[in-house]
Amino acid sequence: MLIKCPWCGDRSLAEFSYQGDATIIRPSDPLSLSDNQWNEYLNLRNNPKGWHDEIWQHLNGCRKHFKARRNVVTHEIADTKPMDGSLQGGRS
Amino acid sequence: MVDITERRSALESHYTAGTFGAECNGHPGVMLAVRRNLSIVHVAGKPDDQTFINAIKSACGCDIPFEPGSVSVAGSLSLIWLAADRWMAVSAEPDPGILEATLRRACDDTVAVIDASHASTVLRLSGPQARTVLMKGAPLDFHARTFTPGRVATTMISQCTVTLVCIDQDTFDLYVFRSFAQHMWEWLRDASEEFGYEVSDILSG
Ligand SMILES: [Zn+2]
Repeated sequence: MLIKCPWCGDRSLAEFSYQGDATIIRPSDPLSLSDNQWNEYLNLRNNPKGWHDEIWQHLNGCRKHFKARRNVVTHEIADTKPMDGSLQGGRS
Repeated sequence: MVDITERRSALESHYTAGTFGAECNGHPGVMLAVRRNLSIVHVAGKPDDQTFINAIKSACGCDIPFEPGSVSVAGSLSLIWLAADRWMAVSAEPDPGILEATLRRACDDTVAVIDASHASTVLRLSGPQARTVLMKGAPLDFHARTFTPGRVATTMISQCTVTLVCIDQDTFDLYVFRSFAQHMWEWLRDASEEFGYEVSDILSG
């Protein structure tokens, strides 16, 4: 399987590392959260069937983190972008 | 007095020059060597910062290679792309402090300049079967029209991160972490066995 690093282009899956959900935003004031809210931010994730926006790292390559829109049913990757880019395509 | 600054390759005690592997009638398919005494300095800076661009140009004598996987060369110095904001300056100067100081003097404090000369072991792989040997190990497109002289790619060989620089169609430099040097050396010897290979004397620079 090939993944397109936004800089290096198509490279083997073996060079990449999955780094989690790209839609999670760190709370601006963690001290104001209840333990449950903090637990939700830190640990609880949705697992929808279909398209996910994810963070990946080209770990054994340029080492950059980037965003990928991946279908977890078909493993199709619709788009990859630098962390400040916005993902296109798929049906997310 | 012992010169404590004398540098020794991680492979020094494993290194035997000679011809090995399959019978090749004096025409080894692969030549292996260690390049010792290089200066390797990592540079990280903002690619859109004109001050940084000018500073590197004045210190290195060449432009920063911005295109992913490209290399700029000025005399014996190479500036090698590692990532969108990181490069590796390599020269055949045995005292790495000189290259580091030159770069640090040229750049302001928004630029990271780090001497990593002792972090890597640099192997040179050449010969008519050198490309074939790499194809056996790394999940990279090694087609002769794709991975051409002046290109660089960081990838994996036998579970190790390795930065590969294509010097000419049949010559490649491999940068591996020093502690993985023996593993990579043994992998390369094993992969070269079927072609017959020659281990040359350690290259100084
Ligand atoms: Zn990359």
